[in-house]
Amino acid sequence: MNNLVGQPAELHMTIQVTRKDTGKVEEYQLVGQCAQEEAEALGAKQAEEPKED
Amino acid sequence: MAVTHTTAAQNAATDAVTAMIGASGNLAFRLTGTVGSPGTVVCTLALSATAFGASSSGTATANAITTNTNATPGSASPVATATLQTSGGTVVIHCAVAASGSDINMTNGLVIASGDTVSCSSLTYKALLA
Repeated sequence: MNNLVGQPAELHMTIQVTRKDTGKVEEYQLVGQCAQEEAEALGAKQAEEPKED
Repeated sequence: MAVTHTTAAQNAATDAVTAMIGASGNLAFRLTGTVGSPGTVVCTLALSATAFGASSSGTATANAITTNTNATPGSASPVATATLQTSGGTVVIHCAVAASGSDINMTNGLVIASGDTVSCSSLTYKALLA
């Protein structure tokens, strides 16, 4: 088994934060990806698990 | 060798995941954590009863998301992750969050303060990138 990790899924979002103190509106464009370390950890866990033939 | 999925397969995968959110799920912004041990929630926004529309070209777009008009983060730390979860709090999607572009300085990250109003005007999800 190799250690290659496939491309993660993606979330894209646009959020607005209106500050209570100033009333200023801030807009953020965010991209979320499956954390690489989680994918690698999952891959390592699967590699350690014995498989039945 | 690259793996490429048909558009139909991408749609099926995306729809299968978004369906798991079920009725009246939530979008939660959190501190650092993992899918098995999610970070502390700093702000929660309610998704529509049907969270996402049907996937098109592999991407599903969220239906209207309710604005949180009085965030109570309980922490001055920046948002590090976001989760899409069921109404009962079961995490379906967990992801690290970074800014792809914004109109303010993100050096210190996105910090949500108590009493702030947080809204999400656009949210899309794609399960398979190719």
